[in-house]
Amino acid sequence: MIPKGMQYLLGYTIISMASLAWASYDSLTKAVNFEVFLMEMTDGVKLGILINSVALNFVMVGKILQLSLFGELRLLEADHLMEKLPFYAGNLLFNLATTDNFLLNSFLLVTAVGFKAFHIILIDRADYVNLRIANNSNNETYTRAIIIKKYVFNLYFWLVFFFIFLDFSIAKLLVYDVFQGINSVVCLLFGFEFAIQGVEALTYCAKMFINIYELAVYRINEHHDNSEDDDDFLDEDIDIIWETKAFYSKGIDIASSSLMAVSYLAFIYLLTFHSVLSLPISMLQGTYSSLKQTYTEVRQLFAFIESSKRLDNQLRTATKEDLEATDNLCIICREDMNSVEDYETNFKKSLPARRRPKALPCGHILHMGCLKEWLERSDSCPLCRKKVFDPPDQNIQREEANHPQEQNQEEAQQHQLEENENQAQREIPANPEDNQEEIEDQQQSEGSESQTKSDVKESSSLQIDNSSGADVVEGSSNNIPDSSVATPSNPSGERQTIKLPPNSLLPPGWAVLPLKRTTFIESGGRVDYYVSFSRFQKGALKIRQVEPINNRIIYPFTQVKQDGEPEE
Amino acid sequence: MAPRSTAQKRLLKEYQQLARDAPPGIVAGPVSEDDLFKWECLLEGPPDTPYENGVFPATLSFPKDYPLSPPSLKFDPPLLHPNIYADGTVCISILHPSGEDPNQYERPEERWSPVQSIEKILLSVMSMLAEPNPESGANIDACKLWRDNRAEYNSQIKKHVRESLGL
Repeated sequence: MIPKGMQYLLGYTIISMASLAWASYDSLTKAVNFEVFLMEMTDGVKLGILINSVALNFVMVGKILQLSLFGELRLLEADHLMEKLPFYAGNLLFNLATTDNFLLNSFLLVTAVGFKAFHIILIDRADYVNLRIANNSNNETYTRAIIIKKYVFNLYFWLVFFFIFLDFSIAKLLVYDVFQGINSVVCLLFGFEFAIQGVEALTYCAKMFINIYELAVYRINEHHDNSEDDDDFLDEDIDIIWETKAFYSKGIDIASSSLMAVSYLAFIYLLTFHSVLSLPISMLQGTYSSLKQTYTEVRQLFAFIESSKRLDNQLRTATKEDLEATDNLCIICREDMNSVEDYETNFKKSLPARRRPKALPCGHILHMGCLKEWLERSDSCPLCRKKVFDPPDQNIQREEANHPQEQNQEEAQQHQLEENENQAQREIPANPEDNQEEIEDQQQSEGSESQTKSDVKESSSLQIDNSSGADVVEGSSNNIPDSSVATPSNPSGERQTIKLPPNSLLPPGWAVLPLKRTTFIESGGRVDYYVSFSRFQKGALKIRQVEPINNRIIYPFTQVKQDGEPEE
Repeated sequence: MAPRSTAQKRLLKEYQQLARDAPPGIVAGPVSEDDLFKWECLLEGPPDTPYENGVFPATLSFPKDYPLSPPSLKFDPPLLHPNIYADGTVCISILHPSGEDPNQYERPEERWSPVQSIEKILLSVMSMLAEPNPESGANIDACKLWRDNRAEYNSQIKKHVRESLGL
């Protein structure tokens, strides 16, 4: 049974051949000499038949090449081919829209598409070979020599080189020809396509070498040495891992994407400045994306370098006590963690860096190596999703940005509760230091609620203390009205501190109302009570002694509102 | 034999764990001990749902860098469900790699992390069977059916269950 694809191909071939035969027979009967024959052949329908048969030849040659080089395609390869090739060919068809030298252009087009197809197949196939060797599917014992031999005697391995060479030489031929003024600008376009394919193949080739190197150097020989030394140890978990591999592969990515960007730019330069053509719009998208990719990859590399540096220095190695407090299981590899001291006493040798337990700022403990690999993919703790290396105040701001609504509701509820009960000092939830702003009053308050109120009224000023809260959330300081008048602070007085929620809006001439006095500690001279800034917003008012600081903004009290009667 | 990678070691651990005490309604294990990256599992339909009494085979495929990247789960034969693609691939947040969700549907804490395990994945899939999440639908037809014509949806599933049991 012939497969369906083959049937179609066969049918197509037969039809093409038959129509070609008819065309030549018909032309021959009409023609008196060769020139007339040629004119007949390249006329109307017959020209279509002729072109079709040329296309057929290309497909045939391609198919035969494919069968002889790769044999039957694997499912994945055919899938990729169907996925990528039509888009690529469609894009290239735009190049045909120019008027000059149609025949040459279509020849180049077909060659480029054919090359693309072979690249796709080749890369998939080489991946497959790589995988087979790396996974050791035949369960052989590998030595370094065997591995290298496996690659060297592999056809696809060499084909990659061959195609790189071919790509670049065709690209050079086409581009160089344009400069010599021999060929059309379209040649430049196609030359560029070949160059891009060459760059892609080169990238793949470089990555393949990294894999081979890792396989041959890190996964094979040294392990054998190890396992002979210490069979009795539970030491099989000491992997030989190429720590810096990520750097190299990232470097290759960067090199490839910048090469791509450079070729796009050079191409645009050639087109716009060296030829009369205008800017090729179809190329702009590629240019932009290649530039952007270069940028993101460089940034990723830096972020990665940064985080691995910080991993070593900033994270503390977990101690024995830390490990005992938890179940000392690394959540990533699900294996036990040993503290450095324990390991040394048990195994009489030092713990490799990868296996060292590292404690994250959130308290979770992981193997250094596991953590490192995870942080290449994410920047947060795998257990609690807290950012690993963020400055703490940034973290808080982000959290607040996420939950302003909840906070408001919470406060409103709190407000209801506290109207009727006198409770000990309770502050606004979440992050007391950061999400509250300090306002200081130079008045010593005393006694009951009404007294406090009048005290506040009489007080000359309130101060927003920016100096003590360097990390005061910006959102709220924006809301502090500029029109407020600053008055000098009373140098002798005590200060009351009011912490405002970050999202409170203070209108010009704002007022603070003490709601409930919670406690009065005579010895410390502290009064803590709750104040409301609007119907929904309130804060905890804390009176405390603070040294007067000169560069402080001071806001006067202009109005005091009664709780529940905000319009007063 | 080449040394086992972290992924292989962890998969072996999880396999042992699952073999020791599997949660009810779940059977899972590697297809062969030589290739730990392909698992077969059988999921029982949760009771009090149209999937009740059904036993649904699925395959788990693990990436080489498991547990840093999530596996993918595919019901074979495909199952009618709003969160399962027509080809059987399951679409739930726990199986999506961590990082930014381009569609902003899922909070980062719902997504994949090495803390998750095969057992947790399968349990989430069981609860997904019981409670579809129409907000992130994968199979539009199933979504529509589930929303507009629950009776037909239920009867189609019951039919599938009967067929899968060879009745």
